[in-house]
Amino acid sequence: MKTRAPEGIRRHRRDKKDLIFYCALMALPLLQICIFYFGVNFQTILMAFQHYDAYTDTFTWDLQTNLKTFLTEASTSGFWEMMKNSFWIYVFTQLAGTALAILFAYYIHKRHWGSTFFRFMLFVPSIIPAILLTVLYKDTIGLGLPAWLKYLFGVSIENPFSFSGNNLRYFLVTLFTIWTGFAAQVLIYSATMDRIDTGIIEAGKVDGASPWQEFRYLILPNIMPAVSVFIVTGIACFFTNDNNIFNFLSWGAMPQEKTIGYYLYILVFNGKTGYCYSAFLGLLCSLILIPIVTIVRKALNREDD
Amino acid sequence: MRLKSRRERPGAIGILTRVLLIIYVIGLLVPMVWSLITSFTEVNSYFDFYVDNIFKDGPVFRMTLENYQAAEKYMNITTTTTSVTYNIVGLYIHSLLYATICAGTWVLVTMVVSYLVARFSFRFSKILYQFVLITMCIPVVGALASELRMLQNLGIYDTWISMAVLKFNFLGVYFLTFVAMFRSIPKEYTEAAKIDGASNLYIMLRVIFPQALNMTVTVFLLNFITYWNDYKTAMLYLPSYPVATYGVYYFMNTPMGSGVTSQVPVQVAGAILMTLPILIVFIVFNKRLRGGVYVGGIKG
Repeated sequence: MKTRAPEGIRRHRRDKKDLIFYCALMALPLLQICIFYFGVNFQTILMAFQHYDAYTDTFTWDLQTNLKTFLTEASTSGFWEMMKNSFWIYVFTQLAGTALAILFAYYIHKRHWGSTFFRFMLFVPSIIPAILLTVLYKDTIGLGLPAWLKYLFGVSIENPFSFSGNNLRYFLVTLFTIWTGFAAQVLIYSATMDRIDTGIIEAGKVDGASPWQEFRYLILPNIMPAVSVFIVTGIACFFTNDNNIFNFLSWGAMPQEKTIGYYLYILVFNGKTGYCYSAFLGLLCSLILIPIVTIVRKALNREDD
Repeated sequence: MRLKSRRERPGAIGILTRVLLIIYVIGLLVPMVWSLITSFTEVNSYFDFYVDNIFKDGPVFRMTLENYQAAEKYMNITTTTTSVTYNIVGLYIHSLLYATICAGTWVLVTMVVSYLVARFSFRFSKILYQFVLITMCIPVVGALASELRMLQNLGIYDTWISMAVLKFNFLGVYFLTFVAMFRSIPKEYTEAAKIDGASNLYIMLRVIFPQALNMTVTVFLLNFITYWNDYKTAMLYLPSYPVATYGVYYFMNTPMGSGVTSQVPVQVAGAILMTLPILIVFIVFNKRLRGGVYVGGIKG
């Protein structure tokens, strides 16, 4: 006759089974993380101090070449233009984008006129491929607008996307990036606003809070965690986003139109010759960003508290 | 009725916001409508207006379906790596494979790992959760080259399997969403199944995962769209398998005067054709997708 094992032993067996199950399913994803997160990042550090020899197709240790290339580039205005562009795009996207996103989200949250339609339209840029939107904007603003201006008013203007002599082209690409980039924020902020306890809002109204006070003291503090996420992740993408420059200008961006993200992409796309320098530049960028992200995160966390 | 009762009269800021929203929508709709017209405009009629600034038949464009036919016929891409030529169907298939492999692998792995982290209270689960949070905040720049080199060293670069291997991870904001979702499912479900003698695998696949089906489908669709739209990564990792959005990029950059595909109406028609499947997905699943935004946001 079979006897039932005591509770302690049964629990031990169950825990052991759980552990085996846990380890079995966790093993492969962890292996992937070891290779493609830790391994890849470690290799990036190594590659920053290597040089690719195209003749022998080998990577050799070289502590100087990338540093020299960097110093040469850093002494030109083009490099600082890229840095400046990356910075300003981030600032404009964050300032203008976040401000507009909060404003639009509040409007939608309040269910004002047309909010359902606006919510739908704000979702469109997240779904339509950026490259298709680029085609549409190039066709409309680049070709359609000059043709109609000439036809209707006799005013001749160049296609702004083919004209690289001034900052207009870069300004339009930046505007496009902001225009199509903040829509996802609107939807998340409005969803966050919808989740705020209506009791709090009602209590505020009973206490005589004006719409502005309601927004400033009840809505804004509640959406700040979501805003913080966008700000922090935005900084993390500071040097990796090419901000639609490749979509619009492909390989033809002028020095004053490039960002670091665009430049890094082009470096890698050019093949192995660009690998090591992109790793070196990437490493420098990471070293700049890590303390900034840490400080901003701490500041935002303190604000949230 | 309930919604109407929540509506308030907008103040000055509300009216300003409304104006800005209308401008925003016009800024989106005008290029869409204009380009749709362009895609149906007969090439000669297009050039009459754009080059000579005249309408030969009065102030209207001559409409035709020929641009779409030309786009379908001539928009072929020959890869530089294998010299194989792909037509629009080939590009669709590549996009479908790319988006399905990337989104499918990632969603599946994220689901499994987040389930383990949420439902098994080992100390390692807490460490893993913190690790994912940290990876989201620590900026890693310049790892692209290293990742490509890793794939080359493993001998899987430029293969479909490389994409599955690359996406076989669980990093990202949806991991947190899945964890929160699995934690919210009462433990009683698991306990009851265990008393009935169900194995861990059975509980995961038949008891818990079905409850996450809705969210899983939404997250999969959002990721599917993201990958379908992303041609730059595909261009780097899979140069022998051009995707549909790469086709849009490729033909948009065709030099003027180098054949049918350099004509703007044909290019616009081609761009619309190549992104048509994703537009259909958007129209069919639009409500579900918008709901999905609430659970985690969208990648650009």
